[in-house]
Amino acid sequence: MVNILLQRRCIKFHCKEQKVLSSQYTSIPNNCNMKTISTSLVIVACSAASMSCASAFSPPAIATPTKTHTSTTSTTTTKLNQYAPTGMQQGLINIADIYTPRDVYTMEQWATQYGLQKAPGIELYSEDGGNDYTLIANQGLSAGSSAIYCPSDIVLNSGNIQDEFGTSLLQAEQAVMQIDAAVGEAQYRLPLLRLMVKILTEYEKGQDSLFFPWLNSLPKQFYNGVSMTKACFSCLPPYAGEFALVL
Amino acid sequence: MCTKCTSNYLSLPSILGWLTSNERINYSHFAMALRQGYVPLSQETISNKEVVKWAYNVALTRYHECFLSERTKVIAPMVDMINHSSQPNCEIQVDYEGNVNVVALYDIQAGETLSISLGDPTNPTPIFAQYGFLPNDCSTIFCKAMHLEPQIKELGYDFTELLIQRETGEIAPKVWDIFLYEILQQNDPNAANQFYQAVQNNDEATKEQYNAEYFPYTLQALKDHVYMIQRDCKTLTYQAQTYDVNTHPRVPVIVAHNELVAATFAMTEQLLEQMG
Repeated sequence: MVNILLQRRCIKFHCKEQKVLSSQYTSIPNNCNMKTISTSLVIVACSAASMSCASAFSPPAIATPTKTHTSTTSTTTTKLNQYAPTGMQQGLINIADIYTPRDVYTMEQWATQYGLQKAPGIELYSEDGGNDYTLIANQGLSAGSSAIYCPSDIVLNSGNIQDEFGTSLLQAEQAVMQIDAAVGEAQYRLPLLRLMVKILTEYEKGQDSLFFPWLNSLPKQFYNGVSMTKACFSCLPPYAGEFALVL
Repeated sequence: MCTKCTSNYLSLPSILGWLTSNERINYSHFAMALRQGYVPLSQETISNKEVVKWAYNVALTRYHECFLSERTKVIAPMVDMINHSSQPNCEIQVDYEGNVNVVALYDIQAGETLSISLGDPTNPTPIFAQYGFLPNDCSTIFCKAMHLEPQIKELGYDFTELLIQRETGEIAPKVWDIFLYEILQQNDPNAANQFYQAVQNNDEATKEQYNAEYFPYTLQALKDHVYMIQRDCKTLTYQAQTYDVNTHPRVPVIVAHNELVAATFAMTEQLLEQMG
């Protein structure tokens, strides 16, 4: 059943990907229970047995970190929070806590349950002890083949976010356009605003958020221009620096 | 332009400050819009600057842009963990239903990390400003001649063409053009106009004539520029190193950036000195 779903979803991929997906990802467990909650949201609730099948695409032994999660024999609800760690105040992620290691493996299990698929040998990898992660191919992968497939159910999409929030987001977008009027081209920045709004909304839901495992796996410290302090900024070669220090 | 010049590349420092400014301004505008209260977020969240900035940075550093029915940005868990390379081995594809697929561009050997392109492979600075890391595999850096932005625009040049070779310090011919054009504008508007026309018409003979005629002046302008950038970088690096890395964790990457720029411009300086 899931195979059919995936093939249907992939139908609009160009031919190369269609072949890859249909040939590589045909062993999705058939014992998954699938319920379509709405036309846009499909939740696959796997039994414990089916999870082991699903992980055929995953590293054979994912080292689940110290956090324990409740049984994965869940009921199908729109509130899949079984991976949420316990004891977190208000269930919110503590953005200020830059010392707790990123929980990327729980995120991977969560994503896999929602239909994320990886080619054999693709694994999470960190060179710096868990601050920065990337993906490594522990087995060769031929040109044109699919390394990772992530279903739209767990993809944040600025177009869908616009539909989800409707008028309220539209008003915020108009506010940005007005604030940005002097700079211009604000319309090109709106998809980023939509992603930001969605992230904040899911953050507010805490452990109740569908995306909690993903949010909980993210870095909390950034090094880009937006993150720089006034002191950092003063060490960059000059140009139009001063007028930006308005925060 | 003499043969010596045509083999050379250059331009001026720091667009970085400008780029980081843009992102900071954009973030502040988004935060201001949210504070107007249209979006159903709690006051507690909206007024928490750290959380709002975190959300902005997550969006900014993890999105992939695609064109579906309109310009769209998506973030796909796991896919968002793939790092940048100037020679990526993968690309991200998004179908019309929003499913995301990462496809190998080449045969990937066991042990290779997956990589995508996060930006212009010729210039590490915008990537640093947006993502906060300094790509070490770029072969060129942007000529940081932001003070010549009007000339760049008038001549119809693109920032990505105005480069310095990282390995050699060589200056791109178009960088010579923008410095020469400014000199002509300041001293001989008629000649500036003719040079402008020559650029528009790809009249290489006329460009060569002006380049040769004004070569000593262009050379001096470039030298001044290179000296100034190196001075700036050294001063700023020195200043950065006075900060405690525990309270300013971004200092190392700032220092690395400034040192990369200074080292490249040091080679450029040597080349210019050899020219006269």
